[in-house]
Amino acid sequence: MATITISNVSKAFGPTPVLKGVNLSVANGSFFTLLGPSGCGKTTLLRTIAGFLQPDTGHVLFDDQDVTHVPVHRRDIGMVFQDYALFPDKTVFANVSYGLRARGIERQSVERLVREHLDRVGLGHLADRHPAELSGGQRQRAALARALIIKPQVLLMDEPLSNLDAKLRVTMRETILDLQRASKITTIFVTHDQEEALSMSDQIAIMDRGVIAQVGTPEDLYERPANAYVADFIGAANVLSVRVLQRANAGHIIASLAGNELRCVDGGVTPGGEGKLIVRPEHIQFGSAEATIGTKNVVKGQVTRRRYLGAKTLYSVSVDADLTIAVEHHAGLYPRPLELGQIVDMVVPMNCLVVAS
Amino acid sequence: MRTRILPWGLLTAACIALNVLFVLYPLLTLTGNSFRAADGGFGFDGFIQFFANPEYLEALRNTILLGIAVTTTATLIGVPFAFIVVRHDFPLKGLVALLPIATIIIPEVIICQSWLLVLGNNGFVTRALRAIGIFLPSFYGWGGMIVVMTLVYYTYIYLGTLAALRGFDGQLEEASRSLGRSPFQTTFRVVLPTVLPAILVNAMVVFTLVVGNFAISIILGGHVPLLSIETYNAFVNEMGGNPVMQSTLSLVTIVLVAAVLFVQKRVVERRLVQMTQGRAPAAVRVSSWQGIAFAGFVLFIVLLSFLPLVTMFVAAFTESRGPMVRWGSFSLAGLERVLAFGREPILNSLKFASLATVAGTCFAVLASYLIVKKRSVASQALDYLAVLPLTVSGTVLGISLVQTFNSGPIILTGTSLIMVVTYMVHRLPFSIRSASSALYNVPDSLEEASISLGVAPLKTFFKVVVPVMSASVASAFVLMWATTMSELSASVVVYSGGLETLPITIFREIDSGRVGLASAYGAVLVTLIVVPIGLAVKIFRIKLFATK
Repeated sequence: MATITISNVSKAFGPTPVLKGVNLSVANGSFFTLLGPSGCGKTTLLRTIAGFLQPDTGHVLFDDQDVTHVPVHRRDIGMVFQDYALFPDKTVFANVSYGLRARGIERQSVERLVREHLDRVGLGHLADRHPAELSGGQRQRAALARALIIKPQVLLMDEPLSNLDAKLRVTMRETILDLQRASKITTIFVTHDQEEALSMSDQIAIMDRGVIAQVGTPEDLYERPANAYVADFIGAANVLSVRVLQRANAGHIIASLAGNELRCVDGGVTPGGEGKLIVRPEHIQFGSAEATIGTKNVVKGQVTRRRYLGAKTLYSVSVDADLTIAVEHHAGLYPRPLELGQIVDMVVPMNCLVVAS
Repeated sequence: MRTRILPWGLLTAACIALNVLFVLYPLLTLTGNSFRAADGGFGFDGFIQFFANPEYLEALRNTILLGIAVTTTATLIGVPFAFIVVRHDFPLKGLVALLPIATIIIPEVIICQSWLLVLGNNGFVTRALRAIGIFLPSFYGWGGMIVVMTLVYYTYIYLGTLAALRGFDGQLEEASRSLGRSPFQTTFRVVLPTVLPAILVNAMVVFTLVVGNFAISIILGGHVPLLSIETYNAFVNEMGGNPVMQSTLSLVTIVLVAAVLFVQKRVVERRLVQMTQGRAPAAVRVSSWQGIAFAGFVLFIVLLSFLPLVTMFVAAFTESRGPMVRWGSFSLAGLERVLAFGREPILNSLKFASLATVAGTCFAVLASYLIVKKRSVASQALDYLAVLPLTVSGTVLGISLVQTFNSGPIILTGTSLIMVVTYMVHRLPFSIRSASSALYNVPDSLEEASISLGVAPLKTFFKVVVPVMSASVASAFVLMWATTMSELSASVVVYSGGLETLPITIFREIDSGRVGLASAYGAVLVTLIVVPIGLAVKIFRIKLFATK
């Protein structure tokens, strides 16, 4: 159990920079997720924290101890791999006890601890099986038990759920979270699955080509994305080109979207400059033309596409030839579905952000 | 950082040093010696003689011809055989599993000597036919060599084709059939072209083996000049003198083999087809007459493969005088002589082969680990050095080692070490290949998991990597034992008084025409090869051909 501090870590593979001066602080006992598309550097960062990679610059600290040059086997970490990496020639018991025996723990305690941990992950009855005789989920549980049993300061997980089928993935999330909450081990979890990240994490760092795009709670990232990249990566978002006209009060600005004046949150674009308005499809409301007279932040458009998905319906609404806005429409909110070709008013909430493009 | 890089770096350096000392340096010495004049200075005397002497040119031509002939006959047997076995179910099919074993456990010297007992000048078939007025052509020369080499080498093509056919995606055939091709047309237009590169790769291996073959060539070659024999004779003639001719002939052989391997690597291997989903079509149960034909074919091949073993064991317990065997009699005289006078070669063989097998396997495991898992410029260099012996036939390897360690700063001639080194270097590329094939199945995360659990990298290698590799290492171990026990071509050049091994003794007994004694030694040799393998397979539950 330790606080992890990453200061100014850079790493290049040959001429390709993969991490560019990353700074992060992971609170003691928290569940922290590195989220990003493949190639963003999240796995490289995780492997640098583990010690499998040496950063070119910068430091990795566990609490106050600089572990940058400490070899992996002396870092006191637990790691769960994407392919589980269970030793194929050893039984589940031998796999789970491996780390304990490396620490020279006496046989009786090993026996007791392994039984205890196997029971905790529901594998008590499979101790004598070999990995090849286990299902994917059982392998994952064995790998978890093997990493947790040594009570590491830090638990590192590299896309541990990506090899499981969709249903199992959801149950394994709960298993992992329960174990993490019970053990209070500081955990760094790498994934490219936003739903996984949002549902599990205390904090998420979204990575983009070797830098941290934004760090925050799941709510922060979803509700207040710092930039278009984050907004686009987490959930769906309309990222619309606007021109900032003037500053308004209370941290707002007035922006022009295809001639419509909208009041939005100031994301640091000086008046007269171009910016991007970020608005989530489900935050846009439809209103009939009469009902929205006098209401601010209205954009008029024509429905050009409708996709019915049961609980919700997705619409594409064209404002002009170059501007189409996605709107998500939850069942029950509006009694009648909109018709193709219908002219509608869309109300854009005032807490939407305009960032530099 | 230091603790992680240093041990592997040091080990890589040590492996490279060993390879340079025992592979590269001897080959450079040999090359240097081929460019020497009669007075010992630089010159082209060797090459001038090579091109001036019609016998040498004929030897080169004959070697290539023999290579082509044997490769062709071996392919003609091996490929249809593999097709029959993979695609059909018929009585006695289980027997084919025995075939690779025959090639492993029966040394070439013994195969030659047994065929001479059957078809040689005094062979029982020859004499039986002569009694009824049929005179067979002499078994010495082209005929005998082609027959015996084909029987020895067809297994390479058979096993290679078998593997390719087993990985063949049956849906391709179904696609061809659905597009209107008959099964017969499909075999020739779809299946054969796809597995052809795999067949060619193995055919080229056979060619290089024929070029380098010593035992069969010298025992059955008669008066046909061949490169390997000319090289050996030059070595014997130049003993103690200027080694220019042996070096020149060796270099010619190396260039010939290297050229074939180059084409194999650069042209043929690139055309190997990767099957994405190898769901091989199931074997078809054939009609009764076809089944009988196939069963007969298989039985015929199996009998031909094991006939030498039977003949030899019978001859070992039969009265004989010189080249004459009194078939039907029983005698323990041969074995008694072996036990009375043959202890030295028996002990030598056991000693050299076991040392070379243990050391060679350990070296192969370590080197392949460095090559596959610790990629660096240095390990890449090690990779190239380790396959170098592929281009070198046994005889040439022996000559290069003798030239290097007979005089100069390191003298090893006359020591057991030179024999062990010879065996190890000869088998190096093969043992590294089988060890590394196992390593490709070990994902990096396995080691990382162990290290993350607190086990240091070097200890992880022994606790995690070695156990996972163990199955294929064990089969590599067994193969190395069998091949070093029967090794003749290199050791016959390297050995000196007191270092005689069983194959060398058998070779000399055959040379002196004492077939009974040769058979008795042969029986002992085969027993010494088979018994430990049998025990190992039983005890460690080894799957011998897992990697093939």
